[in-house]
Amino acid sequence: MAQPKVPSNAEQFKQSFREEAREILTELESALLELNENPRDTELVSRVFRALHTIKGSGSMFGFEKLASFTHNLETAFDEVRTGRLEISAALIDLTLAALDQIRAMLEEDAAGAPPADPVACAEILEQVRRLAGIDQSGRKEAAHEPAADSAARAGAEVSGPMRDWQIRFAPGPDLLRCGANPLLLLCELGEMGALSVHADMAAIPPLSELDPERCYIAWDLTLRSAANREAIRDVFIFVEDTIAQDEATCVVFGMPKEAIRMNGVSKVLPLGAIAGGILSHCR
Amino acid sequence: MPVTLEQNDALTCIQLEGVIDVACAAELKELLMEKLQSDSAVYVSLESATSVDVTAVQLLWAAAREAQRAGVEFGFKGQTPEGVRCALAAAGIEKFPVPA
Repeated sequence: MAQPKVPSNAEQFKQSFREEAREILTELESALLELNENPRDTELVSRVFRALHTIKGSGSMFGFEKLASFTHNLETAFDEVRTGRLEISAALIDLTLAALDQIRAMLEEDAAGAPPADPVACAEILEQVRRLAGIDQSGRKEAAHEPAADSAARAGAEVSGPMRDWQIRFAPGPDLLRCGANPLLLLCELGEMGALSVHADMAAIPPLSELDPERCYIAWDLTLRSAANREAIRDVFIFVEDTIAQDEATCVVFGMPKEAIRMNGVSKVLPLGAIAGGILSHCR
Repeated sequence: MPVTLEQNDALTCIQLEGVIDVACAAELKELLMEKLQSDSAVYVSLESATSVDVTAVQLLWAAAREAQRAGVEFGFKGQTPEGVRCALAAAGIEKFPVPA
């Protein structure tokens, strides 16, 4: 039998992710250099955090697991800075700049002839970042440094106090699988936030002859016991909720949005200024 | 698609191997439909599968239901690997591969 082939749609999405990630990394580098000059600039810290979060989340969704796992630790460190539990230091900025080189290498690893990331350098960077930020081996904040947080809460999650049960219905859009994303990874990520009970609802699976093999018909009913707040939980689904693409007129680089629109993977195309409203309309 | 077929007049066994995901979903659907239309019993083995994604779960679920409806003997043969079983359980698909 022939070897499995990667679907062209998935490969196209991966390529679009690479292009977008290259842009984000350039922006991230610039923000880090500015932050070196202005270490108390909270907007710069937020820019760095958001960029790392996007690279981690999108990377994970599109199969760049190593990249996502590596970036997760940096994201956690900058979440500590963002929430005032860690001060920006030249050491953290230098480590993050060094990490960007490794992330770039991980991004290109599938490309013929591209040099791979250096595992020794990666391990050293992670070790030093973890030591600086008090992060454990899994990328979570160590409990001793985070007394108010539930130890099961994931790194980077906003924690709002008391434990509570969240009922979540996760019904991925029909095109989620077509773009190479894996909904089971989201369940794993959610499971890191607390005790998760999962029930798969198979009721929408049609007869075999009518079944579109690349479409997701399964939905999940989830109960999560966690101290994480609504925003942190929503963050897990940020890349699979109703898909909004930024329009060409307001894009600096019309890469991934263009590809997603072309493949009918987008429910709304909005200018940059309207995207916040579009997102908020789903939160009410 | 990485698959081995064992076939005789009474029974077809589809042995799925390696990664069973969206990349081979269309091919798996065609194979299941073809075998369910034959007169023989159909069994699927996941013993050599290393991972099974949502697309494969849906197809096998639909195939099992189709077989029930058509009165075709359909089942699963051999042990499901621990990794595949854990992934399915984490996805809340503990009853897989038998539809309720």
